[in-house]
Amino acid sequence: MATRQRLDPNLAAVIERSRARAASVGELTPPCVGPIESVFTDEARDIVADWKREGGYERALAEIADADPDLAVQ
Amino acid sequence: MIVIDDQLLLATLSDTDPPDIEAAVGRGEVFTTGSWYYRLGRAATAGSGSGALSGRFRALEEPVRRRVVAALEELPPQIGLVSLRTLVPVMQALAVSRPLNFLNAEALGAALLLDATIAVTVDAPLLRAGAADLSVDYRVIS
Repeated sequence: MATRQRLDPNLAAVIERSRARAASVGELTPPCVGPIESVFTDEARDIVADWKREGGYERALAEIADADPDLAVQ
Repeated sequence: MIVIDDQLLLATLSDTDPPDIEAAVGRGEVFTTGSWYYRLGRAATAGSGSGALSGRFRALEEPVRRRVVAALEELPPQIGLVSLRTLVPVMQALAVSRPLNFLNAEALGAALLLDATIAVTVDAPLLRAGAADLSVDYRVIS
């Protein structure tokens, strides 16, 4: 992989070192390749869709961000 | 490679993800971050009663509910996740114009390490600005 040309040289060097480490421990690809067989039933998907449509996810994120700004969308 | 946010991760786990993300999962090209994975788990359990996603799942039959909750709790092996041991040196070295919180630094560090696109469902101006500073591809998928 080519490091982006515009990167700061120090950052580029850190990326290369970390990339080599990631490769050595097998982190540059997922542990398993192939489709995910979802266990969600149609009813479970409907529950998720309703939750998101009704703003449940956004409310949950707001609570999380209030408690922990490091998890906030800034 | 693509680094997906928590809402795209939820869509992937519930088989409602966009076709291009689904195809990328099949090719072993999709990663998320620890922060987004953690935030999805927190979001699913945040709130009380029916306000939390996990609370709404009480309407499901018990075996189904157990499998669905387990799917949210355990990241499937088809989704990549780079360890903090590997990512933190990159996160520490990021040089961007505006300070980053942990979530954004981890996303940018992962994208740089993997030479990946960051895919989010909601535009995050600070993350977008950091991505621009670092020439990281950034996509908003609605």
